[in-house]
Order: sequence, then structure tokens, then C-alpha cells
Amino acid sequence: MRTKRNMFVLLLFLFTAANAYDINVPVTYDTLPNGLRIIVVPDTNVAVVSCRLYYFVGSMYEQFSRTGLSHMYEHMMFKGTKRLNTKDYTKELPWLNKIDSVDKIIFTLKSRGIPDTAAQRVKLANQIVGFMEKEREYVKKDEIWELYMGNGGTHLNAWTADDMTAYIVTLPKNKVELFYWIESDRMSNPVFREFYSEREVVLEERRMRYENQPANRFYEHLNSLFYIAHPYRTPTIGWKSDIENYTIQDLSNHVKQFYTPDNAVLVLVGNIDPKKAVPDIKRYFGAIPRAAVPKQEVVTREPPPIGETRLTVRDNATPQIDIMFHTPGYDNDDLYKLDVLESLLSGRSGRLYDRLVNREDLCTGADASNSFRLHNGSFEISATLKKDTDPAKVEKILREEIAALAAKPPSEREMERIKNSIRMSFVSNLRSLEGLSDRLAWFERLGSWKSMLSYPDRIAAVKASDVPAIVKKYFDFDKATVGVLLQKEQK
Amino acid sequence: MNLKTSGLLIAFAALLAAGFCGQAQPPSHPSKITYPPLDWKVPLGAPYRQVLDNGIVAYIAEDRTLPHFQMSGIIRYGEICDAPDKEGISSLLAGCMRTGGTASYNSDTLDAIIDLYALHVSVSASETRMSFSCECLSEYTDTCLYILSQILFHPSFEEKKVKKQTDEFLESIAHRFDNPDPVLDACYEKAMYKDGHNSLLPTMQTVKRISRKDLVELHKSIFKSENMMLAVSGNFSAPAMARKLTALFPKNATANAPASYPDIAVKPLAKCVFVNKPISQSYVRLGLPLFKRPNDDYYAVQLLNTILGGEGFTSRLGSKVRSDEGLAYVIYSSAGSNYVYPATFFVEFHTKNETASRAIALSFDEIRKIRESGVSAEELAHAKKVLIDGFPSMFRSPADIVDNYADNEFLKRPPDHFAAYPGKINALTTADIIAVAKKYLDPAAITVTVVGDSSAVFKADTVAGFSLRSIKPAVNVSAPDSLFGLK
Repeated sequence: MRTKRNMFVLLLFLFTAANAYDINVPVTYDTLPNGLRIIVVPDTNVAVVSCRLYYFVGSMYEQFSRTGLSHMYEHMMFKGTKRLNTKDYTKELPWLNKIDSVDKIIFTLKSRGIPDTAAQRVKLANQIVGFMEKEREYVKKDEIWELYMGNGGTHLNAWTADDMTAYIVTLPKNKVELFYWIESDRMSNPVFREFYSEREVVLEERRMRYENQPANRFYEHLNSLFYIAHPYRTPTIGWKSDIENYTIQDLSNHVKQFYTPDNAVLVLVGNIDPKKAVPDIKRYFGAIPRAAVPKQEVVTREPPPIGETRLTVRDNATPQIDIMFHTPGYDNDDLYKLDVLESLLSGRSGRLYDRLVNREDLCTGADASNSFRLHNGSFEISATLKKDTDPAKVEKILREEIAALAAKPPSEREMERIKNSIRMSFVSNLRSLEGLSDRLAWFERLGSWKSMLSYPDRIAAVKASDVPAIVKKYFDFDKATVGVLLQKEQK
Repeated sequence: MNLKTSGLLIAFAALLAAGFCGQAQPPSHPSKITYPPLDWKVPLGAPYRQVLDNGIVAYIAEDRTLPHFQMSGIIRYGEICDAPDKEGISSLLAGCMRTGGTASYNSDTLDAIIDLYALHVSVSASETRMSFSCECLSEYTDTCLYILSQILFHPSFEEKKVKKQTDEFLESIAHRFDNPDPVLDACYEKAMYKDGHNSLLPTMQTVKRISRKDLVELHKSIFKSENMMLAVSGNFSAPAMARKLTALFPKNATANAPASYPDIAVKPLAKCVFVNKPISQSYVRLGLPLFKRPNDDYYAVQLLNTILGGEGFTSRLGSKVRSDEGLAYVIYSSAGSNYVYPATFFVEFHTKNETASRAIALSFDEIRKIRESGVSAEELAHAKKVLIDGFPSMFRSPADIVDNYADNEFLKRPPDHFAAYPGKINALTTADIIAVAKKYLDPAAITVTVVGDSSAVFKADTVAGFSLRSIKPAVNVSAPDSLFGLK
């Protein structure tokens, strides 16, 4: 007992590292015995606190036929618990169980290929509607949302990525306890009410984000071609056919496996005293058990590409070309060199814009993007084409620009521009409480939040002479993934 | 294990959870949490307000927390002021000011300097204002200010860059209806303001008609010190910053009258405007005329909107159409706030074509209900908290304070607008809300705008007591361009 308390004190420490930019961020870090990590950054200049709980789960942990479950649960977390969104859970529960049992029968019939128009399925569907109406008598609609909003909550939302799901709200500094209450309860006692209507909502979201946005639809497919093995290929929202077939049991299994304190980090940034916050968090979250079975990390790694992959799509969209290259996972020194390369290629005076937009007049935009990812990263160069531009010509120029970088290091002036640009981004990211929360959590997910503070030093260590070697190492056009989005009538 | 031992273990576990610190157990429900009082007041703008020697009103705040500088500015002119045969000129002007070089630097050098020092400099145009901003590491503040002053007051509009910006503008016009959101935005404006300048779109013809000379003349007439409002914050000394702004921004009394906005009135094109687009969802807006601000009804309408559909899941529309029925991911209502011309109140949602009529019918029902039965005291109390209690988030940094107060003065609101806001909201009663619901939410006055696949929508237009097809007069067009007479 005493030992545990001492450990608690030892784990709590303050980190205010100076870095290459001479900027200190006063971070307090702690881990509860149940594995919940806590990051607190006090800022007494504001009267609010950004409160965010991140679970280290997302689409990369999902199986075939169940893609998008993390995103589905992002929605379902707002449906309440045994104590929230309900007038009387004991009276509600029998109806939830009845809904669940009919759902299992429907799922079996679906699996046997019986269509939803078959009499048996229509009858069961009507039965569910009847049970839902009964269950609804005990539902206190959207109480979680009402509690947060009625207490000055802003930025209330949730989001899902490939390896993280976040539940977020910014509260007045005197209301942070509300966050502890709701989030500890959501972690302990979730209830999957209104599951079927929410599944329909997610399908509507998918229609809106992908089916009816030609560029997004293009990127979704391109990403799935880029990764052939790693589950990064799975769209965060999930495939339509999977969403249509989710069951409550699928969701329940997923939640038990991943939504536990040992797979989460709680980040508070704003007007809050860490000395008070950490014991309060312990009081609310300390008794929540770890996952019964420790999380299985994804072991799949992307195999080296064996040739070029190409996707050509004709649609009602601005024409563009995207070329993607495989890069290493985190942490690797090359990633920082690739960040420098990204800046070298981007911007109005970056090499791509300068050549394709200013000098050749073929495009209206050109850019580059380096993505840090835990297992396998990506580097993308892209250009937005003018109406009659030949994509082959643009692709040839992109190759030439990359070849030039492989042949000769960037100039001193270019390096100065790049480092200013990266420093500016770093400072800008610190200006938002919510943005800082996300960055700390993101680095914690990759390995340690401390990497956010050491990032400037890693960038400062990159030399102009590193660039040609890094280009040669990763930019093999014969093994790239090339996406070309053309207008329907374009040749 | 006997029962006694088990009980002891449970007690021990509870003690562990409480952290051995004598802390109380969490309350049984969030409503039972006792919060300490919030020692915070809405900050005032006056301490930051200065009238510079060049006549510019500037809100200036020091912020030493990071090596950062930022400034934003507003100009009283907007897209609705564009000449009727030159729609798009304000947007083109903004683009050309930023990219077309200045008296001191040609365009390429300008871009190179901006990129070298990682300066973020922008000029943009919206319906009722032009805006500019700059942001940088504080060590480059002087460079950033100089560059911005060059762009604002000494743009050179190089021919080659004007051509490039024009080409890019034409490209964007060619693709403006690729995605359904901008189609709905444009078609809704046309449906609600059939003759209004705000419903006119820049076209290939109007943009090609704009010459470099037009841009030079427009710039000369609107980028004047007396037509400008600034918000400045960052790592600097405020008096020194005021001196720099006075030196860099010229006092240039205009030869012309200050820009004036055209008269615009809500005049619906029809009761139903259907724009065919072969997509899997219908993007729908139900629109009603509102008013121009300031207007005494505004705060009551804001509360009404919060309860009907302005506040996510807990609003009536979110609860019914999204949460209960699963018909939409996006559904909300909006009470327009416009100080230049009368705004509208609208309900918007996106739903699969097959359920469009059903979702429209449900939205009509909710509008009728709130108009006939009003709102409960609990709903009103919650809506008031939503509007008032989020204030600390609006004023979290010196940049927020100066931005909010510069905007406030631009809109000609009183200096105590923010401080007085909670009192005005709290004074309203349920009777006030039903009064504005009756006044503004008349279902018979609704114009329905739909962007979707007409064959799929009308095939499923079989909702009890409601038919989209029966709403008359109706305008049906086969493509977005047709509504604007472009094809």
C-alpha cells in the first residue's frame, strides 16, 4: 500500500525542457496504477481548460467485416451509460436485452442470405421498432451533451483516426470535475442504446463524406491501394457493407478490448493546477480496471512494394495527381529529414509550386506532405492541374524535381526558409489549448509526449547534405503509388 | 471466502479508489457536483482601443507568452458591392494584392521573402467585408508589417500575376458545383433572394471582363485608413506597435464616398426549388425571412434557434431527425445575423434521397410544434446557459479580445455589447420565445431548397400528410448552372 503511494509521487514530475527554439512547456505527467496516463499543462492566462480523453484505438485495430467500429463507438459514447441518458436503467435494461436478442436473430438470417424484404425479417424489424419505442420511454435524450453544453462546454465533440479516438470538450476552469465524472462513467458503464438509429446516422455520414465528395472518394481508394497489408488501408469510417452489418455484440467486444484506462491518456491544458487535478483524476478513474486481456498490438508491417501501383479516376472533380512513397514508421531519424524535404517542396516559393505554377503554368497548386505514423509512414507529392493540362507532363516534371533533389543539396537560403517554416508551425501549434492537447497525445501515442519538445532539436540536426541521400533512399518512382483524378471528359 | 471477508475487501477497494487521501466519493450524478464560483468577467475592449494618428482604429494587446505576432484587419466592402457586370472583382482584387507584387518588390521576390521568414500574409473577400491578416515569429514582426503595408497600400498588380489569378479564378468557377455543399449554398441564396445582389454568382464572363485597371481603381477607392479596423496582438510593446502602425499605414482621406452596401431584400423565387444533382443524398434547406440587425427580436430568435436546432443533439430537430429516426448526420437550424441586409432563418440537413421527403415533413412538424406550443422553462433555461456559459472560451487570449472587439466596432455595436449580452439573454421569458416563433416561423412562408437526385426523391415522396411535389409554386432545374441561367 505504502509502496504504491510512493510510486504515485515518484511518477508525478514536471518537465519544462528548453529546446532549440527556447520554448518551455510546463508538462506534468503521471500514470495511475491502472495504466491511465495523465498529462497536465497549466496556463493561468485563460479561464478555461481543454479536457480531452484519448483512447489508443482506431481503424488499424479493426478486423475485416468490422471496419469502422471505433468510429461507430465514437458516436455511441454519446448515447450514455447506466447512469446517464436514462431515467431508470433497471427498467430500461429488459427492453435493451429484447432488442439485442432480436438483433441476433436478424443477424443470423442476414448471414444466411435472407433479404430484408422477406416476411420473417420484416416481422423482426417491426418487433425491434416496437421494443425501441418501449425502451425510449426510459431514455433521457442526449443528457451527456446537455450536461456539457449547459455547463459552458465548447469544442464538444469526438474524433477517430487510424490509431486514436478522442472525446473532447473545453470547459470553464471551475467545471473540470464534470469531465472527470462523465468520462470515468463512460469508460466504466457504457450502454449501447439507440444503436440502430445511430448506425443509420453513420451511414449518412459516410454518404456525405465519401459518396458525394469525389475527391474524398478518390483519396479513400488511393490510400487502400497504397497500403496492401497494413490495416492503415482501412478507412476510419469503415466500409459501407460493414457498417450496415454491425451488431451490438461486435461493438461490445470491441469496447471491452480497447476502451480501458491502460489504453488511454487524459490531457488537460488550461487554467488547472496539476497538484489538484491528478488526485481528482485518481478519485474518479482510479478504480476502473485494466483490460481483462492486454491489448494485442498490430504486428503487420507493410512489405516493400514490388512495382508501381496506379489509380486513374474520372469524376466531377478538380483534376489532380498524387504520388505516394513508403517511409519508415516512428521513431526514425529519417522522418525528420523527410519533414525538411516536405518544407523544401511546399509553399509558394517551394520547388513544386515554383516550377508547376509559376514557371510552367500547368497547375494551380502543388504541395508535399510527410506523414509520421507508428508503423509505416507515407510521403506524398501532389499537384492540382489546370483544365487542359496533360497529367503525364506534370508527372514528368514531378520526377525531374525529385531527381534534382537527389543530385544536389538545397541551398543555405532554402534551409533557412525551411527551418523558419517549421519553427513557425511549432509556435503556432502551441497557441491553441486544444491543438497542444492533440499534439501531446499524438506524440504520447507514438512513444512519448516528450518527443513533442525534442522535435525542434531533431529538426535542427538535419543538414542540407542529408537531403540527396534521403531522396535516393525513399523516392523510387518505379515503386510508387500514383493516383490521377481527371475530369470526366478529360483524356 | 466468507461474506465478511468479501465485504472488507470491497471496502478496501473503495479506499484504494479514493486514493487514501480522505477524499469524498464522487457524487452519484453530475447534477450533484458542487462547483466553485468562476472568478472571471468579460474583458473590456476599451483598454486596448487606440485611434492612431493616421485615423485607423486599432485594438492592440501585448501577449508575451510566445515569440509570436499577429494582426488582422477589416475593410468595409464586400462581394455584394461588386458591380453587377463584374461579379468576382473583390475576390480577384484580394488574390492579386497578395500575389501581384508591390512598389518595393516584384511578385517573385515578395513570395520569396514571405516564405523565407515564414510569414503568413493573406487578403480575402467575403460577402460584406474584405479582410487581411499577417502572422509571424515575433523576431520578424517589422518585416511582416512592412510587407503587409506594401501589399495593402502599394500593390503593383503585375499583368502576368493578374492573368494567373484570373485563370485560377476561372478554374475554380468550373469546379464550384462539384460538391453538394456549395451548390446548396448558392441555390439557397437564389431561392431566398431572387433579385438580391448576394444571389449573383461570378461567371466566366464577368470575371473575364475585369481588367487590371478595374482592380487598381477598386483598390484605390476602398483601401483607406478610415475604412479600416485593426486587431493586433503578440510579443511587442503596445506603444511601440502603435507608432509602427502609424508610420507604415498612410493617412489617406478618400476622394470618394466610403463604400456603401446595396439594398437587398428577402424575395423567394418559389416555395420549392429543386436542383437535380445525381448524388446519393439530398441536401435540403427550409428557409424563412428574418431581419437585418440590430433588431430587438434577435436575442429571442437566437434562443428559439438554440432550442429548435441550433444546439446539436439536444435541440429538437437533432433529437427527432437524427437521434430518433437516424435520418441525417447533419441537421441543424440557423438564425442569420446580418448587419447589412435582412438575413434568413433556415433548417438544413443531408439525408439519403429516399428519405428526403420524410425528413422535410418531420422538420415542418417540429417548426409547427414550436410555433404552436412554444418552449418549456427547462428548455429555455438550458438554452440560456448554452449561450452565456461558453463566454470564457470566446475570450481566452489577448488575440481573442482584440479580434472580438474590432469586429464589434466594425459592426457598430456598443462597446458594452459583450458585457451586456448575458443580461439581455437572461431577461427573456418563454412568452418572448413563442412570440418570435409565431412572428418568424410561419410554415406557410417556408421555401424548401433541395439539391439531390430528383428521380430518387420523388419516387419516395409518399409521406403521410406531406408531399414535396405538392409544394407550389415550384422551380425544378436539371442542373445547378440552370438556376442561374448559365447553361
